[in-house]
Amino acid sequence: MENQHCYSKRIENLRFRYLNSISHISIERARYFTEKWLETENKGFSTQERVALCMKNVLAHLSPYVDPDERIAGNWTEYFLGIPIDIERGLFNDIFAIELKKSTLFFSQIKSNLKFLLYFIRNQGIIKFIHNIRISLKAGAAAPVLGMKTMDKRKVNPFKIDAKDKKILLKKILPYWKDRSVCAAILKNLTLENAFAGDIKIFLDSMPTSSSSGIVLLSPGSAIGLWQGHIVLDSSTVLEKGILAMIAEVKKELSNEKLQKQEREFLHSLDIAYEGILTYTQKLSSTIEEKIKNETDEEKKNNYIKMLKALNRVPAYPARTLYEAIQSYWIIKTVVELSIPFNAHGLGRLDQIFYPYYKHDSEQNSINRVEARELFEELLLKSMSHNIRPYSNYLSDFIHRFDGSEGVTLGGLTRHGEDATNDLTYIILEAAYYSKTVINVVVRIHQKSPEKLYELISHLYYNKISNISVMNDEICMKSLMNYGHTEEDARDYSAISCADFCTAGKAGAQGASSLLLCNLLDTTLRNGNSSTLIGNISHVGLETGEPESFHDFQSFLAAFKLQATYALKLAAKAAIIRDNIYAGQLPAPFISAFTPQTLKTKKDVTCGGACYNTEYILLMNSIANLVDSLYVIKNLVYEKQCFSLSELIKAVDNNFTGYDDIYKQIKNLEGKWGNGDPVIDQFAREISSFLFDEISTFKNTRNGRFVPGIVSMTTHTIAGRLGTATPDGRKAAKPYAAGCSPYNVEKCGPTGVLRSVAALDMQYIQNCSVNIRIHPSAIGESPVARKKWISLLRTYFKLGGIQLQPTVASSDELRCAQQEPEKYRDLIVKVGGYSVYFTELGKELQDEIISRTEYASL
Amino acid sequence: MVAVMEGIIFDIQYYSIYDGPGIRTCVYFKGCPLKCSWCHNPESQNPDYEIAYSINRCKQCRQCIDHCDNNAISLLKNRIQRDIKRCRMCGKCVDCCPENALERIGKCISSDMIAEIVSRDCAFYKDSGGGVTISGGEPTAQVEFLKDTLKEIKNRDIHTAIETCGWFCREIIHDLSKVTDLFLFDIKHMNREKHKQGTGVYPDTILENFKEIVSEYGNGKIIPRIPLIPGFNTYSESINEIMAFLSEAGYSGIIHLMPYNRISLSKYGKLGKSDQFKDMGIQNEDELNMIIKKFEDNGFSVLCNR
Repeated sequence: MENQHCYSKRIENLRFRYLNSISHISIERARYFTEKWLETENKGFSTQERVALCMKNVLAHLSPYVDPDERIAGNWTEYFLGIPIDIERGLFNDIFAIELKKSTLFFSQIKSNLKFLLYFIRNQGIIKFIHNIRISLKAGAAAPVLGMKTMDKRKVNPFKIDAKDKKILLKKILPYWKDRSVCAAILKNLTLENAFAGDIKIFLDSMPTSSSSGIVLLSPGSAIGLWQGHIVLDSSTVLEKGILAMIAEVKKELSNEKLQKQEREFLHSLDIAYEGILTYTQKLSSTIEEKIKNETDEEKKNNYIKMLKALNRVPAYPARTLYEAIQSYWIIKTVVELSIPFNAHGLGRLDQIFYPYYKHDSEQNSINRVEARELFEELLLKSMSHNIRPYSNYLSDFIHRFDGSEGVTLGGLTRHGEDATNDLTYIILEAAYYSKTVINVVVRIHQKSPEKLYELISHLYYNKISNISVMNDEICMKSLMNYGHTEEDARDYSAISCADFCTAGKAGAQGASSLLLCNLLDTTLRNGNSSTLIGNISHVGLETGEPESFHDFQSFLAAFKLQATYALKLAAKAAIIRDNIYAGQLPAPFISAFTPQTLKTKKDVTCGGACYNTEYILLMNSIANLVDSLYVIKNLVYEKQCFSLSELIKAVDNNFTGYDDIYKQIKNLEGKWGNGDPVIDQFAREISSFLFDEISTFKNTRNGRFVPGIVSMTTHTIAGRLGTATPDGRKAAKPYAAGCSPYNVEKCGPTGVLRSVAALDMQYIQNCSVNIRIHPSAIGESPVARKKWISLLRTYFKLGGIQLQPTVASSDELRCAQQEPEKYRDLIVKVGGYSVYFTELGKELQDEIISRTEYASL
Repeated sequence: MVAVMEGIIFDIQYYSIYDGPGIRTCVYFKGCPLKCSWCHNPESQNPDYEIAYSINRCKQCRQCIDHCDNNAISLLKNRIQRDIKRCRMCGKCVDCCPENALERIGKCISSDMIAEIVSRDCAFYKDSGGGVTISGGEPTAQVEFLKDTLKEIKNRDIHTAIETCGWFCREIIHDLSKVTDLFLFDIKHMNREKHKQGTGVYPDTILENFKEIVSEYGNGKIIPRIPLIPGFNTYSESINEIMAFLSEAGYSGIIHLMPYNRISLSKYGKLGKSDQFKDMGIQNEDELNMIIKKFEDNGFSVLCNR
């Protein structure tokens, strides 16, 4: 790596400040959105125009923060580190309503705990209830509680809010949106249409945690994310043409007199969105002008002047230099992200988007490598500062502050099938190293990827930079084409968040639902009922038979498949309900504005205006535990008849306490998934392919298909905490396997794990995270050793692997970081699919990462 | 039908990157004629099964005592004691231990089973130019089993190497070399007495065997590996003697250096052999660099496993 020691003090300072600042809740967005929303009521606007106008109002009134440490201007709140509120969508509204104030928190606690107690006593009787609680406590599970600390006082990931703002938010804004937000509407409709009803609803309603995690359990085996998003914008067009030219195009379309009313309204919303971006730019410029007036330090003043000069040009006009291009890109990203926050706005193929500008600058000798790198370091850090969510107290234990859940994509193929690696690929990889952001950097690998690229990745891994993951072009492209992409578009894919991918500017409104695999198995074992550590829920699955009624493994497996299909139908139905509400109530004009196809279809992305309209159903919690559990049942119950299915269920119910013999037999059963055993690998492939096939038979409201994925985000720990033991020997309350990673790994090393994972038919999924934790010695320092590591990666991809995200840190180092977090602030690890700072994780997730098998080589 | 050959191994390690070219799988045979005081794999020395005991896992539940048919186990001073004279190695204690504190060392396996297991990683060998390394213990201590295993592996078109201390009967070289692509051959010391002191045997046979392989099959068939043991063979004179021997034997090319480390301490503990663990100290980085340079200055190319 060139310029080894040439790192920037400014960047280090920025990172330090991001890591050490407390984040602020900004109410500006909520306030100005609501203001305009009320004003435009019954004024004859369509919803899309109204949403666009409200956002434009936000952009005209917010006071974007500007900092002397920055070169790229623009912030989405008035704070250095702040979060806006998506009030009209309302993902976090309940959390704010309850957890900002001690009194509301207190009352909510009392209310929900009473509800919780009443529910269980009424449903199960006091004896069963006490029995359950005892098992849970013994298993080390903690009932989900909110605690008594308000958001600003809590230890993990606190959020501050200005006292005056808090009052306005709690008294005026939140009450107005209580029943009007999109989330409220989705919940209401899910209940009305029987997708979220019955015992599971009563059960969840009685949980003493706020439901605002953005995810609703429809049944123990299926869930739906309330958000809709996961996109990568088309950024190249605006850099090339400028917003003014784009406005002209919309105006030209609008001048067509044959337009339908709806088409006209849609185009009008685009026009408002583009205008909004210019309004924001003006607002930013005047803030900087103020700064210049009051600044006495010459250097700082000059920086502000440079910013201002760029803003006078972009994004209105085409960018000419790399600096202008990055500035233009950042304005668009900030505004669109503000319009739909917390949504995974992938950064796209940065090395492709910016290469023409970098090439121009370096030919003119107006920028050198280090200066370019520093700009990208800042871009990555600033993007990270938007990757922060106001989770509930309960979840804050499992989650972390900065989420590397927006992907940067590097390398890969060009639209014409040539290797796309260029100078910027390396520069941005180095920027990822020096900036030490948790932003997920995805390197696309294909057969023509240069050795130098592999070498740099290995070098960075060896130096413990775990924010990089690798994706296999061949399989990703096959998958995109299997779901309707043209080959050119498939070659041009970008990672979106952790491990999902799409073609920039061609997909829109991708939401996600999920199947919770171990819970599905649990419902199969209990004839349609479900058990969790805090209580049992009845009649939530199909009645597929009592355990004694399965005479062989095939009949048991058939019952499982019925449960899976039933849960899938529910998930798909709920997704359609959700998507219809988005299309009707919260269209996305700002996203549509950077999805060129919408200009042709004249439809918002939420209504199917994009080229590709797929969305996800994710397999979670977890493929590994499911496959191993089924294997245990097949082998020990039906083939060897070591114990009956009913005995196994009893052992599971008692967390194997008093069933040492069964537990030992399960543990000693060799050949579980993840050890490269061809028999189990084939079995895992059959199970997963069945699920893939089932998922892709469903269609969403935009006439796109549902696409499977295998990721877990952090749900493997959250759900694991409430989950009873599983037949594969996983104890109660312990995390499930993360993402698509094996669980019961024996001693077959990384090659065994990778062969097992690659044995799944990955060309039918579009989201998959595979964790592997390695000691730096497995990569080695010498070129000879490095070549072997590179070969390991390459072979894994040849075998059909789709993605890999190594965390390079030894168990010892991670334990030290738990002891002395202040010394390890920069230590980055991979969780469910994205990277995070290890020390910002709750203890439970930290332990999960340490418990992963570590591969070293000695 | 040819009878299937069986032997005793104690481990198989995948993704081995320091035991020959490319990505390799290492199969560890049990039993070794040498007794090196720094031995990394104390569980490899004894050719028979052993039972290892991790005291930190043991909850003293006494299940192993109850399950033992030969009254070989007792609880003394808060730890399990196994009377080796009474123990029949039936393994019932291992199977019943709920904490996995007892562990059987050594597994009987057939040569075609080994070949079947290692061939699963073929894709990795193929891309990296790797293969299988038979290590130990001393693989030639089970020479018939070794030959058969290597033959089975070669039949599957996989590159083979053996990692040997060199202490074997000269006559087997011819047969072995038919199924072995590469000998990773330990050279420890030139001084006869020192060698005997450190390993329990005189080096004569070892050095003769080395020469034989080089002269019969050339440089490409063998790589000398030198374990660097602080205080034993790292001083300048010892290194010079080793280089002189290699030249005399007609060897030039790559050599492997393997600096000593202490990670085997816990293994000695588990086998109840803590008293046999000898801490050889830490390899000084500067000294190591000097040794590397010395070899390089003399025309060898060095691969150092660190």
